[in-house]
Amino acid sequence: MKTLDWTIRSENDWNIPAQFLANTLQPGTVVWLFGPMGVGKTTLVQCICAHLGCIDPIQSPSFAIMNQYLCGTVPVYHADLYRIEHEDELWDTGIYPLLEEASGIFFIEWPQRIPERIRAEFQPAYIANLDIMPDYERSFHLILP
Amino acid sequence: MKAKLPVILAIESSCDDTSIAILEGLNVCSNVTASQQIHTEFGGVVPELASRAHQQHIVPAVQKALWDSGKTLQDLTHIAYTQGPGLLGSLLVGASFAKGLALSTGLPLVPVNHMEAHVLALTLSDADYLQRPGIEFPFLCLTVSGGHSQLVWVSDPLTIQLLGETKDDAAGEAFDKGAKLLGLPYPGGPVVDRIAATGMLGTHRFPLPKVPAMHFSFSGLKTSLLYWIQKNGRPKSEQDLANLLADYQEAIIDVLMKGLEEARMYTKTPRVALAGGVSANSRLRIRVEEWANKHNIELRIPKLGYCTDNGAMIGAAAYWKIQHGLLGSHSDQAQARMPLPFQPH
Repeated sequence: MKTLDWTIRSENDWNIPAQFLANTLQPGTVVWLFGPMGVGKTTLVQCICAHLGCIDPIQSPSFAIMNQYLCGTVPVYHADLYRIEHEDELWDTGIYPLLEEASGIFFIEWPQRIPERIRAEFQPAYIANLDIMPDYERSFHLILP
Repeated sequence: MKAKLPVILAIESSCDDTSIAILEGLNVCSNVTASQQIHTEFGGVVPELASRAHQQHIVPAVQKALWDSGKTLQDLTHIAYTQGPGLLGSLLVGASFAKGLALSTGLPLVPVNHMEAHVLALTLSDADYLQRPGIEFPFLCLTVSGGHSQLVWVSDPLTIQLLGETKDDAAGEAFDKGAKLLGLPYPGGPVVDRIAATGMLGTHRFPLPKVPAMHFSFSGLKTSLLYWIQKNGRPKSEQDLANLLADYQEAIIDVLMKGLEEARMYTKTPRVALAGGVSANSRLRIRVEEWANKHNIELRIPKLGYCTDNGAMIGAAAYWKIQHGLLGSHSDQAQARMPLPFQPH
């Protein structure tokens, strides 16, 4: 299992992992984003999309559950499953057919709402673990597919 | 003789709420938002979210809206629905129901953009919606909700220009997430509003975000609050919590007021409207009213029950589309991502 680690000391520092991910992500790839509220999950997605050449505004999907952007010709699906209370509700979001179709890049915040056995079916997948450290720093631990 | 006004059945199902309205021209005859209460009347349980809830709500809500309006299916002339933006599963329920009803009745369809509808609802002549006559064109509108924060310039019903929007979180999200960090229930907006009202301003400082004119950002405020809690722990007393929330709320409103003032300078408008769920915030209403009085601006804010998503606003947008002959067809599809009809220059 290949992993990469970064320490993020300022918002600008997200550009280094974002550039790496923008270069490696292909349509059909899923990025599961783990980390507490305020750690910078949406900031990271904004940064990656900027490196993917996306001109759409990337806003938080917390209320809408899922936003869709276009990065060049590639659709990007940006979901926040925080508000999902029951496993059944995931069907209502329409996320599963999109994941199966695998035509876009997926950034999924609060993926713990999807049972692990179902998550495991969608490959290739990156697991991004973000955490809040002392002194306003963030740690970013990325597990590659 | 005056032309007969369209009688519109309007369906809103873009996110959490299913709401149905019947309009005659720009008059709201009825507006029914499916809630726990309706379900208590009609029986059954209510799932918290999205399409399954809409599926269960939509038929009783349409029945109730027709009943409340005193009209029947035969009186209708148009069927309007939210085409987007929103959650696809939820949108599909409204769109499919609208299409089914249009097929069986032979009535024309009017697909509506949800964000456009928030704005055009301010033109409703219904005294109940605004408690005053509808606004005239052109006007500036600040739409603030759980999912959106936008400043738009409305030249006419079909030309809505985006002046600025949030770079990250929506204003309503800043309330919800702030409440969450403090262990308060969801949705956070009404809770923060209530508690902050008993707080004292000026005990905490939150930074004003650096964004281009007429744009917003709320993510930094949320992070500042997070750092404050990390350092000090959650407030120990009710008064400390109220003081903290008063300043947090004021910081959110400061961001909105800054954008509003920049847009006033830019557009030199004498007419401003507020829309969206956050426009129910009592402190925001006071601040905007004071600001409007100071600058001699004619202001419209929906009355409390109409700030959040509702069917009447879809009907208002549909009315203007019908006036301009912009009808839809059965091949129109629900769109999760749907820009405003007129994009930034």
